[in-house]
Amino acid sequence: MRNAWGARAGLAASLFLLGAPGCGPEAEPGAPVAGAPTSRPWLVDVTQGSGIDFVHETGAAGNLHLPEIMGGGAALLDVDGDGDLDAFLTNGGHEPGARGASPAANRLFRQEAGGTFVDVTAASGLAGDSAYGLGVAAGDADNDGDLDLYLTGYGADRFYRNRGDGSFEDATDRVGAGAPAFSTSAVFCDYDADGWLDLYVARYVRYDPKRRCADAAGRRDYCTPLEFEPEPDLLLHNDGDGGFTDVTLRAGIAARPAAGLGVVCDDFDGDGLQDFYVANDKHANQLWINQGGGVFRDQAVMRGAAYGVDGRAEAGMGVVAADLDGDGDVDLHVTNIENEANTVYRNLGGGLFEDATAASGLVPPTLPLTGFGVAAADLDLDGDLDLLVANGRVLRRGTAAAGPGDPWEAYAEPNLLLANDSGVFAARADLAPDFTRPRGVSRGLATGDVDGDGDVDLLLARAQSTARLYRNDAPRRGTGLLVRAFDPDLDRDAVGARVSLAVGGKTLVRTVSAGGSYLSSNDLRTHFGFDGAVRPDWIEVRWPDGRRERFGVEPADRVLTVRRGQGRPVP
Amino acid sequence: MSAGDPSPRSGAFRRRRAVSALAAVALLGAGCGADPPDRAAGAAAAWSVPEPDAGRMEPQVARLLAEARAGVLARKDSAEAWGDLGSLYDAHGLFDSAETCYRHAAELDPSDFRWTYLRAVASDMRGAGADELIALFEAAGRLDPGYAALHARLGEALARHGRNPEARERLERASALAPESATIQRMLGQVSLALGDLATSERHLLRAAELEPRDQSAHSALAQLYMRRGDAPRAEQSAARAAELERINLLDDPVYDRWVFSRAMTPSRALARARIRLRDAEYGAAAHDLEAVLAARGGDADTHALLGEAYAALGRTEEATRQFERALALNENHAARQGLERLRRAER
Repeated sequence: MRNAWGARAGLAASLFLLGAPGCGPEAEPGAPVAGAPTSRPWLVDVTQGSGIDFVHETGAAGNLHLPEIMGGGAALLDVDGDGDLDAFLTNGGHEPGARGASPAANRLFRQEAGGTFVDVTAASGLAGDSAYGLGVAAGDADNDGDLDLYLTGYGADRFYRNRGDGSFEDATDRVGAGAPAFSTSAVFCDYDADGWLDLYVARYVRYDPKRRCADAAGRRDYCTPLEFEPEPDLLLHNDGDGGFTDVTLRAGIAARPAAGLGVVCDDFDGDGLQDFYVANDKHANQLWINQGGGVFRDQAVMRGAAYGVDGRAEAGMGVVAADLDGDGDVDLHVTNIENEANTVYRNLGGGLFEDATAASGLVPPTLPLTGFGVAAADLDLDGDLDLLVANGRVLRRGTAAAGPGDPWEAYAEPNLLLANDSGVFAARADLAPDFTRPRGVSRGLATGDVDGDGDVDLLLARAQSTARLYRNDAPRRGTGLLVRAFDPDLDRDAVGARVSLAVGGKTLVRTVSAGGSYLSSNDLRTHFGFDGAVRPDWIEVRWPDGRRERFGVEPADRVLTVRRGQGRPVP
Repeated sequence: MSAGDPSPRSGAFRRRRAVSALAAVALLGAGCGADPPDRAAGAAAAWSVPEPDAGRMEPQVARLLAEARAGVLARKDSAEAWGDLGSLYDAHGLFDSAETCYRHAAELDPSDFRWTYLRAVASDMRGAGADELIALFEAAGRLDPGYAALHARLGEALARHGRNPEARERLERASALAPESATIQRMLGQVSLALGDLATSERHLLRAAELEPRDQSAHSALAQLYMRRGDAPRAEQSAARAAELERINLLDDPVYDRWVFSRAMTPSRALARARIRLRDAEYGAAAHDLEAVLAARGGDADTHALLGEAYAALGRTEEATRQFERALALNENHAARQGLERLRRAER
């Protein structure tokens, strides 16, 4: 990979050492916490002094336009190929109909040696984007070894091609997605296994800015999606020549428009083909099962992943696909609106799902909150995946009085850390007060090992507020391993590959994907936590074309790149 | 929820009036935290009356709530006044305030099923926990154990909280009281599916689909069930059928209908209610709602067209024609054209 700023592998974590527990400006030392901390906090807000001084601007002027309540997005990605993660955050803009340049701008922060971040937006070619930004997806669309960016928003989407040095050129006209739309989350994924990353873009509704909405008591508030026609999602086939073709209709995706907010790509039914799952707001969620030949069929209803337990369509926002119960297949966790618990769809095998929300312990902690961004990460390296949920309302609290003060306070909520204990999750605000205690209108949540210490850190985007960077300081119950699955023939990460780590009689399974959460893009490396006293047996990669290889692991490995063709083939 | 006439539609409401003193005593003894009625009446003077932020409410809603609140302030020892205010708050989504009012109403008249029951429903709406809901619904159940909707609502809530065996037991009680309820049959089918009892689930879901062929949820659950059995063709068939339908919840609940469902005044709620009433062939009530919507916020093509449908069904052809024409004037491509053509064909 080319690198304009020089290689900085083996970065120091001095930035992260700067942060002290509770040093974030919004820490509320006096606020009550459920349970006293049993040890040092799992997540420490290290935003202050990090160089990430991003403030999201909704452009709200009191007219309650729907896009205002939905952003923004966050990405952790290595834009310059220097081995460490950089940060990208999307910003809003003017409200619909407003004139003049908006001060809101998306921003790119490059991580420097020493772990601090520098705003490189101006030099990156990403400045001056006047669209109302919402989501971000990262992927190497042209197989040149660097990550390109697809940005969604209200108005028009943008595609930026990475020149190889971490600077970008606007290549939107090559994508054919510049038409006005209301796009939300997006994910790169090679659905036809031709070696080129395609793109699925979730789309919301045909928003009419003139429509005025109210709550059940007739008080003005943001509209629900049911006030508008849903917009079909967009599937773009990568033609391999730098261009994309809109195949939405041909693929069957256009058949069922719904208000899409979150999307993930994975092989849910275990047939080796990449499928899509879309979390829809007030519409049935969709499970687009890949039929081969570029055709998809929505089988969410018959496979048990469309509705809540009572058969009602829920207000799906974000989604993460991961092996939450450690049985080797991919489960789903969908964040929903208040009074709808976030839903866990447990994969029973073969892509049949059952609603395991209550059995997972998620009803009490998630029922009162509106979830958006979501991550599944083994924070304490004990071998199972914990959940992190970014919360914030879309409708005012019923008791909130109108009046002077911060109007966003009526929408603010705390975030959740849900610790996994043998497949049952418990809200543990006490473990990460910096993350769970401050109330905000949280939206995008991205994960990645920012400080290169073998565990997963977080970047949080919040509407009309500062973005926050959290360092994982959880007491380690094991050791961490990051695995990068790389395909030299494609000169990029093997997006869609299934990486398994056999250790201590268990097999931990992860998928290579930057997708998931809400409006966000994650570190492409897979992450494992396991008992450090036990030597791992092997890593097995099922490459996107179905071929398998096994690789050895040394106990001292923390970051490992496995290259296709260099492992032992598995029949 | 089925649309309710202003008057109760079943005997349950009247049965509630004949509640025995024994049940009231039992409720008080069940640790519901209520004062005996006489003591409650004495304490009522000190109770504060919930007053949600009305500053941004639609004027007619604010006026209605202010009048009901004034009624409570004038008669703080009146269970009826507290219950009336609670149900209005409830109808407008103000569940916390509604719960408080219902609680006071029940303290003042513990023998009145309505307030204890509606408090339980409002608690469910605001997301109360399973144990709290069981206590509240059981308190109401002691006042009127024969009210099927109570058991159905509790069963559905328990299923949401993952307490499926208890949910099934409650739903079976509901089913024994209302064996012809498609919604209760569907709920039983869903809970049985969650319990892995596919044979029982299929029986209930097929019965639900038979009783209410328009309900999407029964067919969705059947699709899931057949897929679990490995019968993909039947699963596809049921999923396809579900895709053509909408979710229908026809729980016969006259208390809720009378006191909550029919009382929402906002145009959006009235419009939603009108759609349900049209579906349930309650054309007079639907027309009343739609007229109110048009008076409150003016017309859009959809509302005029819906009112046209209601008038047409009531035989008020001239008025129906006018409404369809107004819809088309606002949107020349609107489906109201089909309604208009249907009327003209009928005239010929």
